[in-house]
Amino acid sequence: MSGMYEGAIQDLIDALGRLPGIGPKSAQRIAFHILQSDAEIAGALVDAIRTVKERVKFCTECGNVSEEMQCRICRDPRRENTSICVVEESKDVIAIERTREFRGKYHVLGGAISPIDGIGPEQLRIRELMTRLADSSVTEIILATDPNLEGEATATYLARLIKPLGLKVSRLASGLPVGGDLEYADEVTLGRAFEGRRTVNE
Amino acid sequence: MRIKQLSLQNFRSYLNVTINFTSKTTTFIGDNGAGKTNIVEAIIYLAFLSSHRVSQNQPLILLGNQQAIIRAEIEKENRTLQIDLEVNANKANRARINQNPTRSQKEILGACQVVHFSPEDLDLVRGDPGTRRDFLDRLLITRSPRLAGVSADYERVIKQRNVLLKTRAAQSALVPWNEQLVVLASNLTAERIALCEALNPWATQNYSNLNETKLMKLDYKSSTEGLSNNPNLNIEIYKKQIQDLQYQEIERGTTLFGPHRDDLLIQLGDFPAKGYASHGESWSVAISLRLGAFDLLRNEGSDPILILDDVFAELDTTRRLQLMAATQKAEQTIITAAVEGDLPEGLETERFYVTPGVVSLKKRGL
Ligand SMILES: [Zn+2]
Repeated sequence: MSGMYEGAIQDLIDALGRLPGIGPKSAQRIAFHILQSDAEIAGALVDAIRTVKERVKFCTECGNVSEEMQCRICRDPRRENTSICVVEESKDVIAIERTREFRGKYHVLGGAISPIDGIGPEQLRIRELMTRLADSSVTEIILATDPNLEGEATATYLARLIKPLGLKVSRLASGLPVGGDLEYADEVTLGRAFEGRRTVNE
Repeated sequence: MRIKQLSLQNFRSYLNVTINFTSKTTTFIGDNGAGKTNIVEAIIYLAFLSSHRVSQNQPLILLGNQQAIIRAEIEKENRTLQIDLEVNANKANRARINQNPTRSQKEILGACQVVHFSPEDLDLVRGDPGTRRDFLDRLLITRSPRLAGVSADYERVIKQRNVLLKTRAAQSALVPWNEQLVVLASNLTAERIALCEALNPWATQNYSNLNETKLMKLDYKSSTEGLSNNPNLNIEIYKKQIQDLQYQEIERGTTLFGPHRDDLLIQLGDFPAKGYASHGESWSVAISLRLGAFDLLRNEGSDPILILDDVFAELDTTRRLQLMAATQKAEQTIITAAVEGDLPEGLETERFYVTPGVVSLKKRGL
């Protein structure tokens, strides 16, 4: 597929094609759409990309995306400090926020344990989580990793790690589409899974 | 069930072809390499979401493309289902049912059920255990599409766990995978054992119908003792096994037990078929496994499409008659043959003539 166009347009197609979920044909379609659109619209896209890279960082407390040192949720004084919901990615925070079932804070791991991809506990923000838990105000941990093999393995690993601390550890109830990502579950299903969460450390 | 229409785009040798199935039995006639098995392969792909010939998608896609499309109109219990499946080279496949997108391609499993018999099935007797496990697992998926997920998850857990064993990871790293391994292995083994028990009488019956004198019998041969069709009891046995093998597994750097190391044992009288069956007996065993599966599925209320891929040329009269009898029971039979002379006498069928990239109702040159 490569090398069909000259210089700049092919560079754009290649760059777009490296984005997740965009195949060669879509990359070509988007590239020509950008080429034919007004300079203003194209400029806005360029600015948005540049700004997001300059401004958006990761919250020093929970690892969520944020424009400040701390994210909006960690800064919010109305959020309870007693419970932490552990998720794989920032997009899972958005999904759970939509359910309005949770008033505590989050911890974003940055992925799930997957040995074949070279991701072990050390590659995730697990040490940071343990540091946070040393703060005595936390009493409950909700493990909201994805309902697939890697998500389950990560939850099991964390539950065993946290057990000696004597905190209540719970896992989202089943009923979520198995094998999928948390983000694909609709609000009602996810809300129900949150409400029916079960304690995993007896 | 029956396929009313099959369309292929960029699939194997086919740029674009549409086939309308109008008879109870349809035969594709063409030279070896003309592409008749590709048609069968597309139907099998719809049934199992994997080919019976290759493990990757790329060989299924016409050279120079990234995607093939298989589209089928299936009639099932007086309802028509339109299945669209994009087979992608570099990303996950996508499926639609009656134009509606699905969350996962797995949602189309069960829409198209097939029992497929081909000369390669001699490997069910002579081949390695993996061939027989694959036979069982594909039949499991046909009976219960949910098990496609169990079997795929099981294979993935084994891969994840083997990476840890190979790098001599700590027990604490293994534990999360051990728990899932035990549950998945217990389920998969229980389902396979239950399947062997259900299939056994049907296979035995088909074998004796072929005028064979020995008693054909199926047994599930597990790498772990004491397993049964009860997944809850299996869990306890596998938990103990994982403890017993703990050090050996780290030493060897791989998972040493579980359904991926099991086998389907085929007995003929007092001897295993593998190594003892004659050429003729091997054919009879292969036919009995496939037609046994066909009878089992029908007995359980399914109505699978029967596919007989290039088998008539190799068979004697008794075995041909047995297959002919099965075609009478099937709502739809799809046959491939190199020449018309290979077909059994008295077979009522519509005929398509296959040349590279083309499927035609007329013979070439007529
Ligand atoms: Zn934060």
